[in-house]
Amino acid sequence: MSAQGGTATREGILAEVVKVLTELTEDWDVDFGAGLGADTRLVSDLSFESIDVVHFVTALEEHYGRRDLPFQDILMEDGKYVEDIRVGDVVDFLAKQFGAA
Amino acid sequence: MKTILFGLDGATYTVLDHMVAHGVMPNFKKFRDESTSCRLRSTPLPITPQAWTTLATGRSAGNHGMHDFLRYEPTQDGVYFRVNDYRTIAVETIWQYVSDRGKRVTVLNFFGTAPPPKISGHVMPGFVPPKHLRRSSHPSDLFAKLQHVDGFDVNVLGLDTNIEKMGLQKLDPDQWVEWIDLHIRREKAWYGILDHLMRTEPSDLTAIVFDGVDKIQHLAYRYMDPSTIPEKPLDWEKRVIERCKTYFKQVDDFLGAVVKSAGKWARIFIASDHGFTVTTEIVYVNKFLADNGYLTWRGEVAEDAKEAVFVDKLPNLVSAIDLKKTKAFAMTPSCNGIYINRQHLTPEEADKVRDELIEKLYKLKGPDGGLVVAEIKKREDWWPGPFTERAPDLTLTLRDHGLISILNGKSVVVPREEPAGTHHPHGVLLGRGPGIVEGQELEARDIIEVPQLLLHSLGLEIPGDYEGTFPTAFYEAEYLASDPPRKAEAPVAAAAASAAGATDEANLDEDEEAAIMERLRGLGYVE
Ligand SMILES: [Zn+2]
Repeated sequence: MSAQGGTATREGILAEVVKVLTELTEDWDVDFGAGLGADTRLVSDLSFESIDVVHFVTALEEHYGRRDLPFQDILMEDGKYVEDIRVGDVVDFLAKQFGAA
Repeated sequence: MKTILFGLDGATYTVLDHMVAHGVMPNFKKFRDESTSCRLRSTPLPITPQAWTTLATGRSAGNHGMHDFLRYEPTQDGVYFRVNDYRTIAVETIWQYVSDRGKRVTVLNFFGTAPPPKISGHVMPGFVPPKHLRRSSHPSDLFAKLQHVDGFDVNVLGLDTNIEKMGLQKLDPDQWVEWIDLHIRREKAWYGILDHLMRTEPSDLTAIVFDGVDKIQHLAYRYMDPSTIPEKPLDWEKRVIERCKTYFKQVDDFLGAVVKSAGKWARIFIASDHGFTVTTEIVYVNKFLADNGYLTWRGEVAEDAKEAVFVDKLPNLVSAIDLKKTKAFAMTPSCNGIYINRQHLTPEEADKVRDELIEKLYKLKGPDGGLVVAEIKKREDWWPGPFTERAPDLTLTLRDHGLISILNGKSVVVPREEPAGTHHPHGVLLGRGPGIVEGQELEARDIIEVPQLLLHSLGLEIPGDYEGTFPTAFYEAEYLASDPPRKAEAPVAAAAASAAGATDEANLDEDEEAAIMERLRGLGYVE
């Protein structure tokens, strides 16, 4: 279930991230329209607030059983927090961390 | 024996006694008459995450690691915040410990219990927004089971940080009553869960925190402390005073019901994580640092106009400080501390900055000419252990116990237009039940000792690395002879450090000191 050790594929990671995100937002009062995918943006599409990002990161850490993933690399840019994040950016980040193909 | 921890976040006898005197809390009065009570010394930084976690682990924050709500990590070009949660706690909690020994545990509304430990029993954490409360509860079907309980409303149970922040700054008069009422509804919803679980799936250890006490006191303390209640309150103030009484009346009703449903063969402990007092001024620490050449703002930074200790979004503050040109800064108001920007300084420079700051801060005067900083705590002295570095380099105790502001201000020390509430290091502890002395008032005890009372009451051994000593005076000597607290041997390497670092040595009374010497002697550390 967890993508580690360089065996993961980007598609596999995307599916896992979408699964985590679906579980996270299951009973939220937001309309996803076309459904979750790589192009979904957390803030503008899912109405994420900063505390929701924290819980999303926690959910991913729990899913992968890792607490050492440097999420600050995608959450911050030039010392400032980014305004929005695409699901695809999260997938790319994880793919890089897990050395995915 | 069945044991209940009735947590009142930020409760102080100043307010509780006032409410008792006005007939608002008859159940609490009766409880106090039938219990042993004392003031409860909080952790060296008297705030919710650190103090409740010490109560839940028997360890000081240098050992458990939960120093503050957030912790920050310097990055290449800024600061990254992590929100502390259950995974931050580096030692075993009593929730897990008790559960591992075959007993059932219910833990409701405690900070830092998400993601929830997989214990036998129930966990519904506090400080979690409505959107995340279901996933953060344990077992996973708990939420579904509780949805039929009268008054269950996730939007009321969960913590909306945008609303909570309102209580920490100036609020329009018409918003006060609404804000207090929200907390009355929240406590009712939490009590509904407590009551339901106590009746349907009772646990050996049941623990709940009512955190509205803290929230309401931050905002409306001046209407609950006899020394600050206006003699001739305006109409809206009268309404606020009434709503505060309604809040405490409701807490009192809950206490009465819990005592009744627990029955005779149970022990109930009431504890707070810290107390409360009145704060009359705001100290803008980053303004002080900027004025003294230790901090550089990025361009013009607006001055605080709302008497807000919080910034709306912490990242905004971070980007407001030019960290490359900054030697020291304050990051969160809750830790009341100053970090030295060690990333950009050599260790020698950092030490020098720290010494200079201590000297200058002790000389800082308010508009009245009085000294503002009462005490400065160095982290290595007060938080020894593997997590010393989670504390800021310097922690300030201000003369009025106020929390620092991390914003820019028009001057460093600004009197508040009206007094507000702030944390005081002395909270409350009361215990009632078989073997406990009735109607006894003791000298202050330490919060770190509370879990020893809980574990002993449950009939469990106290782990050897728990700091502090068992408060034997709570119990009849005869009873205790038949049911003495059993403490495991301390892990040898840790024993000396924890005994030395556990308590403020100046505060050690002779009994405690003797007990520690005894323990060290037993371990061969002292001849
Ligand atoms: Zn608190």
